[in-house]
Amino acid sequence: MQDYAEIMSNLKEMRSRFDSGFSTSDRAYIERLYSNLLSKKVRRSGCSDCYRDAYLEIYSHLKKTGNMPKKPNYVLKAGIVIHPKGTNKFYANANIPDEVAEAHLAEFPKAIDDFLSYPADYALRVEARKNGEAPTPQDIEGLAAAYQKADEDRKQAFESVNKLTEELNATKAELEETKAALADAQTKLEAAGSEGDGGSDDGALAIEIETLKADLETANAEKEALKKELEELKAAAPKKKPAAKAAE
Amino acid sequence: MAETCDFKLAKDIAGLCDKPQVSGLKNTGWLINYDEIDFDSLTQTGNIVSQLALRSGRAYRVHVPGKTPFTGTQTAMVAGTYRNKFNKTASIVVLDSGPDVSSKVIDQLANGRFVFIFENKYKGADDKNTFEIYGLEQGLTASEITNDKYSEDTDGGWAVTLIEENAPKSGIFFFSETVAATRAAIQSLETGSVQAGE
Repeated sequence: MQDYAEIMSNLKEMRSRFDSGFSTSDRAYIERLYSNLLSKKVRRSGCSDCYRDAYLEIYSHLKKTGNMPKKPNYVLKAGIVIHPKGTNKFYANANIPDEVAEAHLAEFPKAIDDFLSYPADYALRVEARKNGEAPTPQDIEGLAAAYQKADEDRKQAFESVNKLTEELNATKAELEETKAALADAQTKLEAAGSEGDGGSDDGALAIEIETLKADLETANAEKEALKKELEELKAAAPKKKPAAKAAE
Repeated sequence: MAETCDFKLAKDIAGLCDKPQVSGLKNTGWLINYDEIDFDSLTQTGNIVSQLALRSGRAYRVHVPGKTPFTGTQTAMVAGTYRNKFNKTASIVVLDSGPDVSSKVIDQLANGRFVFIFENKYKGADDKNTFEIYGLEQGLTASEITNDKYSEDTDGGWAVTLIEENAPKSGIFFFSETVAATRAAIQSLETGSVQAGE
């Protein structure tokens, strides 16, 4: 039987023919799914949209459950109906839950002949059910399924551990690299610090500044001396200028 | 010790005033291959079958439209040397034809043995008359099959007559607790021996 994804993909592909009408092969496929998944036969008379109805029923069922139905442990023979007392439910064919089947068998042990298939350890299960215990799967299929699940869990756990180990190693390597880079940076910083303490450039600059300051002071003194000399010269100059002007 | 059957009346004969007898059948019946019935688990008390299961296969729905479906379906007594018995006749029309119908339906009906479950319009006082069974004792076999191309009844389809001859019981009815439960059983017969997840 196909898996869930494959069936859903096929059903989605068939949706384009929903309005125009399903092909013969579509109809056969719907019939098969309807029978296998829902244990029903498509009615071909008395309704105009039998296959469309069946299609919608299958699609909504699969979408709702989200997975393929589990193979039932108990299957009744066609025509046998179990009607638990005090309920309005009828169970037939493959739609009978384990607890209902086992409760029925606890009350009517000979009714095992009414079942088309049942677990090999049904007697133990019925006994467990009588004692109010949830029966554990003892049959081969149940054990195989349990083993398969445990094996898958183990593989997944192993893969997770491997992945985590790889991640841890990568993180360790990164940490080592960061440590080395940090040490290198620290060394460089220390070297830079020691160079900055007795710097010759700064000393030369300071001397130069002092020299320039001295030069400036000398220049200022010269300027003052020249000013004084200029004033003395102005005072000592001859007083003939107004007469000369008049002559002009 | 051998049992001696003494045939004596055991009930007054009168119709029901509040539930008068109604003639005819409903439009849907079910045909089952006789050899697929699980006779070992058949539960029958008197003329009532309360459990009818299949070893394999399934019941096939027979739908006949119209006001008088399955016209000609009847039970008739036949005189016997030591004991009288009953011939039960089921009349079916197949409003279809072609290679598929011929190979899967007509050829099989012509040569096989069958059981026919049908629904009476008249349910009886306690609903136990609702579903009746023909062919459970001797099996129904074909007595006449015709394909009249100009038939106004079948529009060129097939008319099939199945008969169970010399059945000891005049009527056998299918009733399991309630009509609803019996319908569920018939639905289950129609679904057949299918396992989910196969």
